[in-house]
Amino acid sequence: MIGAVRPCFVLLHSYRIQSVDIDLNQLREMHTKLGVAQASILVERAAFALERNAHKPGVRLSMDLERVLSFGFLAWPNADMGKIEQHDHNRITEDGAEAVALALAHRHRAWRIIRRMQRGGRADWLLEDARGGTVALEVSGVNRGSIAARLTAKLKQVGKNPDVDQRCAGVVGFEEPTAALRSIRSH
Amino acid sequence: MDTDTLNTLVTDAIWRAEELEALGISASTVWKEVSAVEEELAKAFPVADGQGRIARRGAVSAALKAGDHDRAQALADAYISEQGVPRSLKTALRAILKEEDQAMASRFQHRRSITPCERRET
Repeated sequence: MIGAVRPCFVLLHSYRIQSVDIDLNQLREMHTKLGVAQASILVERAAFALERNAHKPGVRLSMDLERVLSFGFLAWPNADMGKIEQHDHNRITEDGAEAVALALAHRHRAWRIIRRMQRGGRADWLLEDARGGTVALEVSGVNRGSIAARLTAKLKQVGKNPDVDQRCAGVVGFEEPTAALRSIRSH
Repeated sequence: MDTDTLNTLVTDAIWRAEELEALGISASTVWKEVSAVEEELAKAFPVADGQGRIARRGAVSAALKAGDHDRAQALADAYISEQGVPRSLKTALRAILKEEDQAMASRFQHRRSITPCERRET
């Protein structure tokens, strides 16, 4: 009997790499307080950000989830690239990153949106965890290059938020699809 | 109106304001709307609640973005005088107003003051 139990224990408490797949088509179901139009635009811009970097739905996504490296597959509805010029270049990167980070926050931590915060609020989103605690999420996107420096900067920024139970930064890179989600625990 | 609805409204309004600004279009009317919804959220959540503090800062900040300094000042005065308001929030509200004052001063730093006499001539 002991031999039968042990593998279960090892599986649950090891730091083995686990796959987390994300489908941006489900963003609105994950975050029901997000408006339909807003969710649609976030997902569309994520699609633009990924496809302008020559990625196709189902691309492999490297993830840093609380410093544990992982990977998964990222799906999204195909973008109409003929419309990309109608959108601001930076908004595509930033909103695309928000779509991916919000989906990841839900898939990985079961967090849900409470509301958006104003610029200067030391976070982009106020989320709630499964116990009703509040989470400040600061998000940023990087169209080209590494996300490491941006993640450090965003953690510093959200760490100053005085009004929540948890603080978290999410950074998404689109050149080689990468996403990081890191928390600063409250004192 | 329940707080979930107010949160959805404020999320939508902030979103619209940011979209307009990204297009270089004035969003002052939408920021006025943001400020009004934030004020309702501030009434719904006590200052001891994190969401209450976020809403109070948001109401003042959005009023300034709407260009309504008088409203921002009045809201800040009311929130600062509330019972049990933490010192950190008082400091934050004063800082928001001060930042706006400094931004305003820098916008007009090169403007020469006009004497009453000159005004009559123009």
